[in-house]
Amino acid sequence: MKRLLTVSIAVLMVMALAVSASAAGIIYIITPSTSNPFFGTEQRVGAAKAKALGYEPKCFSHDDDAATQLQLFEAAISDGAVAIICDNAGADASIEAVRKAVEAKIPVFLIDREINESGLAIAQIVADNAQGAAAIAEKWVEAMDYKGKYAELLGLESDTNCWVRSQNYHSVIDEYPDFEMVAQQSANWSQTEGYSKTEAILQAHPEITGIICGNDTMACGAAQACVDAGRTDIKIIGLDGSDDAASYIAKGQMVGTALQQIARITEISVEQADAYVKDGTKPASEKQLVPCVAITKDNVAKLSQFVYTE
Amino acid sequence: MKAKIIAVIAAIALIVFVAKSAKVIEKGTEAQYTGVAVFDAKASSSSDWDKIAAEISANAADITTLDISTFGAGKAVIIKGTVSAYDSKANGRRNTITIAPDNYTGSANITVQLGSIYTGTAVRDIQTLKTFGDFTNQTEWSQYAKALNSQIDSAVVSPLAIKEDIKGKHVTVTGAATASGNNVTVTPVAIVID
Repeated sequence: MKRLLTVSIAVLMVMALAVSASAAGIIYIITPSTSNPFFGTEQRVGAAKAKALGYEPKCFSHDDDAATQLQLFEAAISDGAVAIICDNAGADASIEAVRKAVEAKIPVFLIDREINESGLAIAQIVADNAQGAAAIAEKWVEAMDYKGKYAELLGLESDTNCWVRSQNYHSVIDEYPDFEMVAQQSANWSQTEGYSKTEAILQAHPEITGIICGNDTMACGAAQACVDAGRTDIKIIGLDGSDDAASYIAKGQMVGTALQQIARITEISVEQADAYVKDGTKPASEKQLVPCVAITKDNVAKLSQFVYTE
Repeated sequence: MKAKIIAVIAAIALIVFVAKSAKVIEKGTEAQYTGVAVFDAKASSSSDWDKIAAEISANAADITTLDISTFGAGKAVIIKGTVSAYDSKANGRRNTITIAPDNYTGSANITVQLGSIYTGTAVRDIQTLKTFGDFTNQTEWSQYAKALNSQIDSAVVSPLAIKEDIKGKHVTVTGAATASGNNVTVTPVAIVID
């Protein structure tokens, strides 16, 4: 008798579990390493939004390794996920993983980074890096009074965003003939490299008055190197909108950054996944751009954890 | 010796054959062969320009009737008023005028960009002829905005050769306005000096 009761309770529990899991389904949220708070925000905001819409979120990091990413996509398939939200591990390397999911009838919603193939993912929602870079470069040329020698710290040169940002910084700066770039080096998106490269550049080119950086992590490294060298005259910009950069901007040690509204982008992706799962509604267009917000000391107080509040 | 001569003759024959059979594709005509067109922002924007200027003019509302907090990415506006200031920065590359609209009691500070360098993407962002989906990537979409701004300079602003003596004159400006705090920046698509 006791045994029967236990078994029936177990059966009931399994049924309850199955019901709760299938109520709306599992959404996989796959991102690069959360050691970068930007990607941490994707998992935090994505999971919260998925839960709010009745789904069971499962968050993983592929650590920018395409093989790991493929395993995670395969796990999502065998787990019967209803949708995958992914900040991918490479524009070309990720195509295979996305295609596998699509073949298994699991819709994929890409955020932050595009892949070099259209028609696979339901959505590719990215920050308008080109517009963001141009917008903050405009603030920088004003701060520089339209002239001067400067250096550029590039991101990882294999990354599309590295060149989109650099090209769009230059699309603004190069219109003014009184600017001269005396050094351009990659600091691979890294803060420690941003610091050491800036130290070396300041030694070799003490005449510079500005440094443009492909992201906030490198910009924070550059800003700290300038502070430590007593060069508070140097005008620095980055791009991302991190809280670390916000703190340098508030102290006047950086001119500004362009906020990629990653929290908003992630929310949009989960909303679109929900609409698609419910009745097959697709967004009007696969590729979608969310504008960046130029952040300077005038509005930095409105920025926290990649969220800009008017 | 004999073998060497034969080898040389064979090599020459091969070179002649390759040179004759290979097709030289002239620069700029690759697209005819590959089907991949090289994006030309300038050409694309100049053929779109008349339609875009007409669309913005048709949608423009009197700026004094609008709430600037709704300007967001951009709003089509028309401003009738007196030029209260002319400002030149960056060695004459960033020129602007400030306009005091007729019968305006609001506190917004309204400036109009006169180039030759224009900031922002307001004209691109309010037109509806083209969308991001019509372009391959963000960079082309960004180049399109810049090319439209260049059109403004060559078609609208440059021909007027506006100098400091515009101060005090009455003007009618149509364009795309954006707002930051109390400051409104207008990128013009038409300027009439009355």
